[in-house]
Amino acid sequence: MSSRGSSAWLLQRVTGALLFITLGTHFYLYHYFMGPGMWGFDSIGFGATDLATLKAMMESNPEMAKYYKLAHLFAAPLWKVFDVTFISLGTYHGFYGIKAIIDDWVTHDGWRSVANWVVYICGVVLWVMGIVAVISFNPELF
Amino acid sequence: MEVTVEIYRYDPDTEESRFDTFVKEVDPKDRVLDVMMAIKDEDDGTIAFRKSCAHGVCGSDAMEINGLNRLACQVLVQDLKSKRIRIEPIRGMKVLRDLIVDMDSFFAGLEKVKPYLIPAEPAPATERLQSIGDRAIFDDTTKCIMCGSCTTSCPSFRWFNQDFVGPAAFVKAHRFIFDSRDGGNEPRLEILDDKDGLWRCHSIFNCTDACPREIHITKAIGDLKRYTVVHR
Amino acid sequence: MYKIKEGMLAWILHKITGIAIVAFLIFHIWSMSKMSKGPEAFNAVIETYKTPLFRAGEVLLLGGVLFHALNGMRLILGEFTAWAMKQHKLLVYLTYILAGALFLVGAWFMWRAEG
Ligand code: HEM
Ligand code: SF4
Ligand code: FES
Repeated sequence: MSSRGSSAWLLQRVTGALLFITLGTHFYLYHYFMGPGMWGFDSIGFGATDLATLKAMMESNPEMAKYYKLAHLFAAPLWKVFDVTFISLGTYHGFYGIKAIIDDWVTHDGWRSVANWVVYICGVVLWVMGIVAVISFNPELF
Repeated sequence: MEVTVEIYRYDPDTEESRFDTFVKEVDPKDRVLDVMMAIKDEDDGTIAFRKSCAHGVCGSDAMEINGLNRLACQVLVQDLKSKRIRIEPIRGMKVLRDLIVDMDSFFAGLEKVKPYLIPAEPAPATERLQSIGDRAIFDDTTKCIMCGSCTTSCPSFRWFNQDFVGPAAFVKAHRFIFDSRDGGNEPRLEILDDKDGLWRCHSIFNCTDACPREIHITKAIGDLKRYTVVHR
Repeated sequence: MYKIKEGMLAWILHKITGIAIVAFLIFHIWSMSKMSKGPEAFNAVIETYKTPLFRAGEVLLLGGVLFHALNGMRLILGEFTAWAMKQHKLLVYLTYILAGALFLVGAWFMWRAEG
């Protein structure tokens, strides 16, 4: 990362625009498909199993219905890659955004870099937590 | 029509500030500057403010009038659509007295971006030619009269801190960076790409709304951002 | 008080929503790392998502995300095209209208769904 602002400025825009797309997908997957869900709409056939099998599993054990849906998605490499990308974009953009706010507020050079480093470290810790959660989630159901 | 004029007063000796209120009979087509001059002549001769040309050219009478930065000589009483006129100094710079602020740091900021032609090539025998198209690129930013309305309207400057290079200096930089005859961009980009440079602009548009010359400042800053990304 | 014009209000809201989304992101990743530990852990976390307070918060967040996303695209468009710069006031209003409309639709869906 450049200590100057130009590349960071561009990256904030690029990640913002990419988040626009990935966030839309995220909402579709985790709030619509995972929520009310529209059965028969096969665009989520990219999951680990086919929708008919998934539906049968959900009906046989309604308690676990949501878990099965999630497993259906997470067991597929495509959605793991997607989530890793999404988390990376989100943590970078979000925490760089906080850093930009600090640059506006904090004048003193020393405090500015202290605050910036706190934000960077928090961002990296959160990113690692997110990536570990996604990668380590391996429900062996299918 | 009758208007109530509230003028910000600051006494450097006592370091006290207050608003003085005057009720004046004015013509709706009077400029705010006319009203202020009438108050100074008829009511209180001690009010201090800057003005010179009285025709929107010199840029010395920028002030905050009813919550917006503008030139007192350019705004008519009727345009304010209010019977109450509240006049304050432009904010973010040290008030010296009443409506007079210390513009030294503002002009020093402009100087940093080297607001003069640094020729790309040695002087030719005749004049330095420029096509009409090349001239048009920076036409808008040649109109600046350095009044300071833009910079002092910007929250990044007035709310946060005055280290921000600010829109007026960006306008000056634009004027020369996009001049085909100029070759002195390195030191200018150094300032623009600094931590208090272009990247603290968040396209808030206060500057564009405030500029008495109707320069599209936010667009000029956008041009500079893209230029800086490509050229650094 | 300096008058708050179109672009200024949008900027204040962009900041507030940006910070709010980051706060949620922190919570979200934290709870995600809990629920990825197996079916029991997953269901336990999902249970807490069903409380009315949490669901109201989620709906509120949707509004914030919609505004931030659309306003962010407006800012990007402005910084890259002269047209969007010239039309900035219109585009600010359009952002509010679009974000508001999408919010109503989305909020209805979210509230209707059983958590
Ligand atoms: C969905 C699409 C998104 C777009 C198009 C977008 C766009 C942008 C843009 C262009 C900026 C720079 C604004 C400026 O310079 O003033 C920005 C700032 C910011 N964004 Fe986003 N963003 C999006 C999603 C997110 C998400 C998911 C988060 C949180 C994780 C987030 C958090 C922030 C923060 C904290 C800032 C700094 C606020 C500021 O300085 O005003 N954004 N966003
Ligand atoms: S750009 Fe406009 S508002 Fe800013 S100093 Fe120049 S004339 Fe004044
Ligand atoms: S007095 Fe010269 S610009 Fe107003």
